[in-house]
Amino acid sequence: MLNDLLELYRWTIPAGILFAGLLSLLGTQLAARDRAMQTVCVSQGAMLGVLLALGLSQTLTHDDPSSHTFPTLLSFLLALISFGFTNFLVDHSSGSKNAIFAAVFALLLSLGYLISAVFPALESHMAQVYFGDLATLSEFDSKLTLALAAFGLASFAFLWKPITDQSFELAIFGRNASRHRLNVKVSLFNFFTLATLCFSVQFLGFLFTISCLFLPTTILTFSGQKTLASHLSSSLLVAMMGALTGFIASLQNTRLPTVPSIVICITFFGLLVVPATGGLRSFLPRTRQEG
Amino acid sequence: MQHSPSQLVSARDLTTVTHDGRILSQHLTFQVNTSEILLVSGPNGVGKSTLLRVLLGYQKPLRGSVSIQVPHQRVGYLPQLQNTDFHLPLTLRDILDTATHHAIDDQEILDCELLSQEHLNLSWKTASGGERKRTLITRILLQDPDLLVLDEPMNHLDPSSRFQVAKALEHFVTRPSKRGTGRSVIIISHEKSLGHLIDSVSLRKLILQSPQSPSLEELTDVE
Repeated sequence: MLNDLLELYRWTIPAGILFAGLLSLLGTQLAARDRAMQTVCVSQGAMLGVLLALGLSQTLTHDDPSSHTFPTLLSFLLALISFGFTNFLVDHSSGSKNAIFAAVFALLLSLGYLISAVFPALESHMAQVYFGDLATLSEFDSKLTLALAAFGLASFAFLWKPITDQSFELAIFGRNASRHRLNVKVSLFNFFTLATLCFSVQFLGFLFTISCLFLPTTILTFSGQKTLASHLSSSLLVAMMGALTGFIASLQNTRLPTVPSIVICITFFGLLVVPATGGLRSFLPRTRQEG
Repeated sequence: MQHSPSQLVSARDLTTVTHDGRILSQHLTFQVNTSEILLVSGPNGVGKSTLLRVLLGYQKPLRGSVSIQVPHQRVGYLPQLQNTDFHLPLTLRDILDTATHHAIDDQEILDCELLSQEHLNLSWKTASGGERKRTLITRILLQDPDLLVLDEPMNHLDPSSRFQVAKALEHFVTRPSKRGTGRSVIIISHEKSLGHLIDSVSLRKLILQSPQSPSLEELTDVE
């Protein structure tokens, strides 16, 4: 029985594993740039685009709802608008940027619910886009996901040093950071991030995307790891192991939903790493040297 | 190898303003030549950091012009820190290693004369303010810039570290870059004794006191 399922999902399982790994690496950099809340916001914008496109396609043009082109374009457009709008607000406000992101997220969430009310046929799609289900990916979608994940991971393998340097400069110097040094590189990173988020939200779901982005890196900050390489490799491993075991657990027990099972497994593997690397010490009072 | 001095930065009749239009400095004219250090000093709020942003092209002057004879990618800029926390665990070696296009060896780091071998495995999170500042200066030196622009690099440094930084800057301007070009430094500092620390290269001091009275003095001549 399990062998049949493994054969059935021979493309989907590696696609899910590799994409979880890619998202975990991307998440380390977004968290380092203090952009986690903005990412949640932008992902919600991408989700809104997918829902709007599906609703318009089904209701107005009667296009094939399985076509990905229109949802992909509209999700990218709305993610881009969400990204630009939140950046604009942050740049022109002296208040808390996380409060701005939370407010925009609430607005986008409401708009998503409104769209699903206007297009009643979207209710099942809304749950699908929110919680995702790797098991419903077609073979073509799985191969596409696998190819993009492989490309993304290869890009990270070549560029992890300059990307981390960007993150460091942005985090430490903030608005004072060297613009000549960063402008083009940051724009490329932002484009790559937006494209990955839109694809991930559309094909793998909002919950899978946000969990793989931020669960591994957040849990591992409590570990005793001291080097960048160990944090990045552990994040990758925890996300990929979690995706593999969560998927197989949901195949073995059909009552277990795929993505929540993956999320629980990522958390489990992350929590295994913390004591294994002496991370429990981080809960003890720390002394800092100054001066 | 001694280079004949050539002008790297030139400012003419410069007037700088805050974002809300308050005039900070007026009619500033100066130049920075290779093999020399320009120290910009003055009280808080007089527009020292704004002047650096104008020189770097990040902010437009109200009047006047700036000319920098160095490509932007060869300008090393150390702004003031806005935050010291970083999500990822980094050793000081990680920070230096990710900042350069090539793989750096420890000797290259040690040659910058600001960090020792023991510093390299320290975590950024637990390093002291002075160790962090010296790491950030080393990070820029390793990028081999022609022009180094430093905003308050002496903050959080003890006297011994200030001396180390001053000597590292002296060595920076006296040695040519890997491309064989001459180099110079613009530095903002409240450090009144910097003139005593830098004694073997040309150090000029631009004192910003009020919009009406900027002055430029030469403290040390090239030997």
